[in-house]
Amino acid sequence: MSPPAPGASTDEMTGEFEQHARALLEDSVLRIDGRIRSRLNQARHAAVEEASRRPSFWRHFAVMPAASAVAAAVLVAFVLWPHAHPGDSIIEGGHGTVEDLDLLADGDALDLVSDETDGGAFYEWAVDQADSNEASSTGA
Amino acid sequence: MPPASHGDVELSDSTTNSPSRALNQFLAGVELKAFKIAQAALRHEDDALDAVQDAMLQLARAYSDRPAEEWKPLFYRILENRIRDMQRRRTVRGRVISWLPFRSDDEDDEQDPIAQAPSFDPQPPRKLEISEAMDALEKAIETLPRRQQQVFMLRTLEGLDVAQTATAMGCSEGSVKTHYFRALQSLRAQLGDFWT
Repeated sequence: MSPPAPGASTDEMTGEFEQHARALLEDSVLRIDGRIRSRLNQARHAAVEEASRRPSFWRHFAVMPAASAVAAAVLVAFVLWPHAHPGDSIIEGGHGTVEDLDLLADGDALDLVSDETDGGAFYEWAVDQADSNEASSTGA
Repeated sequence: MPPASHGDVELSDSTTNSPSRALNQFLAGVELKAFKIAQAALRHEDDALDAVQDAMLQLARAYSDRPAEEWKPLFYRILENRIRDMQRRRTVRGRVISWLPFRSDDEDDEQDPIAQAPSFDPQPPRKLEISEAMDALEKAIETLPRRQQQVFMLRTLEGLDVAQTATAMGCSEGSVKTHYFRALQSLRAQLGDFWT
């Protein structure tokens, strides 16, 4: 750890100067006293504890099922909305789209298409309603 | 990833998993040098400790999920921001205190603990020579403009390359080279007589 030689070139002197400075600074780091080291140790411990308490990125996926259900409902609504026209309504023409959405949002809607209930009867009733509406409007 | 350079802490069960161990090793490897860098900038032991502690916590909170290779420049970026905040706060506090009629002189006495640091055991000549050279270097570093001081410490003491130093300082690599060159020139001009 000797200082730069007086006769050296500028680059050599700069290199030697850097080495000398680095050696001195590293030596000064080694001389840091126990009180400072102890406090740094405590600070490090606290930081590591903090990192271990921090929720992992993957834990964010815990909310995925609920978010997926909401996203699916929005997607279904989005897909169905443009295809529904007032003339297509089978129940009280003009409000069919809104009622379709109500049915989708309603938990009972699942019963209409499940095997446990008589879903066919509903659709027969709906067709009859549509036919009777059409007949009445034609007769009028 | 440098190994822990000094006494590792005993970690609880919740922190013995691999990411926490990696973070612990990283922080153990940089904490002493980070303290010296903060101390050179702030010239106050407790403020330097606070800055390093805050930087550790911030790294753990915000960036512990990032790849370990990114930690060092991120850590020093956080540390430099913290140092700058403390310097600004100190400047404001100094202005306020200078207006107070009952200003205490103790405020100034606390500014330079490095110069006032007590020497403990009797030193042999070689040790004394190193100690004097170190004091001279530290005082010369303190006189550097902030950016030059910053780049000199990051490159010389921490051994960051130009790109990492630029990331840590939030500037271009060209600026790093310029600041480093000027820092070396200035230090050589100041210490040339002392070291030759």
